[in-house]
Amino acid sequence: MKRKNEPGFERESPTNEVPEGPERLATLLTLSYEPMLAWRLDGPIEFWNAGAERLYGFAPDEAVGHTSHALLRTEFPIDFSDLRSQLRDRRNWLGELHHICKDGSKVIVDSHMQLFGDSLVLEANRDITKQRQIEESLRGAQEELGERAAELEAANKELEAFTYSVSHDLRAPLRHVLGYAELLQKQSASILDDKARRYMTMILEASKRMGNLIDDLLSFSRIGRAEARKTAINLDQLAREVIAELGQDAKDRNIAWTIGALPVCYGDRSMLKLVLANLLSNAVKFTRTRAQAKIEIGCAAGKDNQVEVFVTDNGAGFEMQYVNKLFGVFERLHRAEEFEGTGIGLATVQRIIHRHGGTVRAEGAVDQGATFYFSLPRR
Amino acid sequence: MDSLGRILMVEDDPKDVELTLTALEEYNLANEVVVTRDGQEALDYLYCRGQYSARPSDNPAVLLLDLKLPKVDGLEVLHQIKSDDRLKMIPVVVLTSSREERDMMRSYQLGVNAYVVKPVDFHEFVNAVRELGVFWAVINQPPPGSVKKVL
Repeated sequence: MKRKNEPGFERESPTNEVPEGPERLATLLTLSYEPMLAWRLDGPIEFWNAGAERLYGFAPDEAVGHTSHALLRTEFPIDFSDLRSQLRDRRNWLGELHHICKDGSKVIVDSHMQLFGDSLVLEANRDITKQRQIEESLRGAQEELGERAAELEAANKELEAFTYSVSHDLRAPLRHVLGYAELLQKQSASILDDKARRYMTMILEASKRMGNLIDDLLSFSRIGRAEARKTAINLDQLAREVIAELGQDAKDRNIAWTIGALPVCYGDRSMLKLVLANLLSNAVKFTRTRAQAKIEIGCAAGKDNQVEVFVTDNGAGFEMQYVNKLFGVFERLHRAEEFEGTGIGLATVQRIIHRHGGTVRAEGAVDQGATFYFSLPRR
Repeated sequence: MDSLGRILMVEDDPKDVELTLTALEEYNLANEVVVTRDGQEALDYLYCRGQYSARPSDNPAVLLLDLKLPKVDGLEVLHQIKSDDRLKMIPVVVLTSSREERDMMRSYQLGVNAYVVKPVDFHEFVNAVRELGVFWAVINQPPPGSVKKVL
């Protein structure tokens, strides 16, 4: 019977010349690219197919007659004696084997063995060497990624602890400067001339500003250190709460509040309250020059798994060219005389939203108001 | 004001000592203040030992306790006081720069009577010290066996 690759094969009629019964099966076995062999327990290999030759490199006449595990220097996952017992008791065995080929290369196979009669083992294997290699390098890459992430986490924590302890330790000497400056001012009120009195005032103002910066830095670093407790948050309720609190300080202001439909989202309540408080109080501050301030909070069309909230006002706005600086720590786009503040509010908003896996952005124009957006996961 | 209880201040920073005494003086509360500069000295005072072995054995009306002290630190002093039957009745006010939750937690666990974070703003600081002084050294009735100077 002609082999598939021999010329003339196609011309033979499939129904006339294919052998019946056992011969057909035997031919199929020899043709298969999958390694198949048959061997006697405590005896030699009796059958070795083309697939076995292809994988292991030994031709049938180099394999038949040899002990299979000696020829292939097989590494078994269990003792060979245990494998033999399993074959005798259960009639079959499945497992992973390591072999060494004729050329010395190592292969890993998924092996299926079945015992026929007392001592004939039929073995069919599948080469999984490549698969195992890929798995190994994937695992290696994952481990390395895990290590990098841990290193980054540690570095971040160290930085936050440093920021915190520095800010904390700066408070005591600052307290002393302020205390002695006030006492000096009181002590020398009568002997200071106008210029000297003004210098005293400058010292006090600068020291107080330093105090504000340190406090802001302290609470900013605290955000990174605190545990975020995430629950479902009703943003509408939270917004109304913040607006009510802001209203207390803005009693003499003419502010038109618009609250759009706000969804439920997922996050840490006190942190998100701080986000809304910062954005809304900024809106209140920067609309101070308007006869009527118009501040609106609502929901923009977000993606499926995210909500996007905006806060927009008709206030002083900002130059869009500097939008990238807006969320930086202590960055300000307005003069201190125009609008007070340390420039930590938006940095805090960004920090919190990033911790929740969301994003922040802003749009504005000088004297034409500003809109701030933040996104949060829906659940 | 009919009587002024003794205030025991435990503070290692000389500037903080001066600023606190100045604030107390402003309200005539500084006459009965004893200043100790670390935890060891504070305990020596309370136990009438070491340099204080000759003093009469009554307790102060209140302790103003800083936490960051050399030798024996504030929390350790607090622990010892609140574990001793003779001393645990003394009201202790922690007056510290630390707003750390763990310091607060530990202080309250040890039985502190009040925890005050020193304000950076001097006016607020003076107000806080005055309120503490007036409450603990004048208004509050200290435990029996405390020093009280009749004014």
